[in-house]
Amino acid sequence: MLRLHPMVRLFTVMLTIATALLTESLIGLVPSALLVAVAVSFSGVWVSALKFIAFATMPILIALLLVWGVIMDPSDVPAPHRTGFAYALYFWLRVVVCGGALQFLLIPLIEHPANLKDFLDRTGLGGALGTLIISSLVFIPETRRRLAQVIDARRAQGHQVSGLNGLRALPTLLMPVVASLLESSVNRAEVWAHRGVLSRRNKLVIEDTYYSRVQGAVSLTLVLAVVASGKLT
Amino acid sequence: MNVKAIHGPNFSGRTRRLRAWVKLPNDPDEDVPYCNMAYVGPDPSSALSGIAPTVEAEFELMAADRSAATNARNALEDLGFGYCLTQNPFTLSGGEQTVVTLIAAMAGRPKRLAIDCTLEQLSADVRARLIAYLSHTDGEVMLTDNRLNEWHDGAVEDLMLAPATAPSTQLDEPFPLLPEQCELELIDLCYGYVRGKPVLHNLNLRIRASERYLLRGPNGSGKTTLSKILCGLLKPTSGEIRVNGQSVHPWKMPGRFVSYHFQNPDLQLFEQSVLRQLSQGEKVDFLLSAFGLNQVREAHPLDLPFVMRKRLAIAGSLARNTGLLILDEPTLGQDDKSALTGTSALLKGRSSLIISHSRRFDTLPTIDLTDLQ
Repeated sequence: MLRLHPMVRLFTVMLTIATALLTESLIGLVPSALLVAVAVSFSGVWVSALKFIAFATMPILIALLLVWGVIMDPSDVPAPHRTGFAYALYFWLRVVVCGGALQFLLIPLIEHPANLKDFLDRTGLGGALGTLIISSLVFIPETRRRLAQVIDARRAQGHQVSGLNGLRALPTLLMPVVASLLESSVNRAEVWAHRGVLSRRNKLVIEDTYYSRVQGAVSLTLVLAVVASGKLT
Repeated sequence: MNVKAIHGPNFSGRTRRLRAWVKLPNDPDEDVPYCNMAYVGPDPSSALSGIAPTVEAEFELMAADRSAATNARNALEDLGFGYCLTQNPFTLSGGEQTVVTLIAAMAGRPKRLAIDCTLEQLSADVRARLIAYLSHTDGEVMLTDNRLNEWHDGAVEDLMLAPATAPSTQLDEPFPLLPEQCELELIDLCYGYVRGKPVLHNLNLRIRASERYLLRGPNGSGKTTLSKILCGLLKPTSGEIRVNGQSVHPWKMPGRFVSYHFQNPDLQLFEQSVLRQLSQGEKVDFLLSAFGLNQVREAHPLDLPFVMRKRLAIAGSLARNTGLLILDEPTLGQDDKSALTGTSALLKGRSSLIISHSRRFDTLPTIDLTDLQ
């Protein structure tokens, strides 16, 4: 299990994403992809990462291959990519690297939210920025939860929520979801700010957490090597 | 800890008073200050962090330090809800969520804790033990509850506020329409969210046509689960459901035989105005008058205060005029003058199942889930 200091983790992820975004060749992205694969495997989030690749990025890859490999003229393919398929793969790998790196950073914080306080405290990202980070982490599960509740309520009233009738009723379904999301976001922000959850130093985690210096050094060395390889290619 | 109570009818300013007491602004444009205080309203889920995957993680997140987190865990176990620690706080029943939310709030060691009608979802036993827990911790607690007269034993202080100006309800007239007679029978019904941990186990029950029943049971005993099965939102693991002697599968046609009023009214409000919300059903004008909604008939349902949203959602469930009506905590947030009671004529002659911890329904025949399994 990785025991990386939050600053090292954040620095690694930021550099990896920056390298992926600045590297212009498919080969240049491979070291970043390998680094992300190693990080994801050792931090125990590989199941989520595989799901992300399979369900979120595969449709993107298919669409990219269709557009750049079949529909677009080969002369429109940006340099230095030789074929549309290579460009599509390059674009997809960028998404995989950036998404994987973000999962490496965020999933441990979502699964163990007490670590979030430690992370925000040690990286100095508390206050308004911390609230923004938490809001973005809360958004998807909260939307899913509210949608499920509203669908249940609609079904309980005898309305169909699937098929063509369900599609027709979509506006009626979305209104309470959006309204309750807005209300709950105000309530959650109020709870976080009012109780000072982010402004307290979380002794609970800080006392217990051990961060490995060796792992930190290895991680930084690897990410710097990836940055260098991106520059070289 | 010093526990005080504010006593007053709906719209007498109790919520404003409680929020001001814990220094929460009543104007949404004002910034919320950090002052190590806590407020928990009638919907306990809105006072959860929203990010913790388990109750234990919620305590760790909200705790001031390690000992506070340990105390919170111990308190939950002492109250008999230790099994909730590993569960997602949003999958808990209303009563369990109330206990978890209040203990999580206390784990932050607040100087002041305001409890706004939150205790109404608790059984008398759990409420008494929770109050005892709160009174043995540091800081101050101020609460309001529409059932203070049911459990007020002198340990709390009453502060009467200004008289209410709320539109009153007229629930003493029967609903002019009655559905087809519906007798419901449950035979060996079982259900569990997790394999090997049944919430309902071999439940046998008969709900006679035109009768009103009070469904009782401790917090977490499966009252809401049973309602969801009857309504067709959940499919029982095994057992049979019969309507007028005929075997039926409610999960194949949810909402057909049963109209279910959820604890949280907001989930049921889909339309742009109160009038449109009710016009999907029958006898709109009668319901507007009965529930005191005439003055707000053109208002957006979600702009109404909690007490009016609750009334509107109950009216909407009644308007559907189905064979069986299930009301989950219909008196939540309602004062003595406006709440339904066991003697209210509104539900007369209608097969109804009322889930409530209030003594307002003590006159009704009781179905106790713990006795039936």
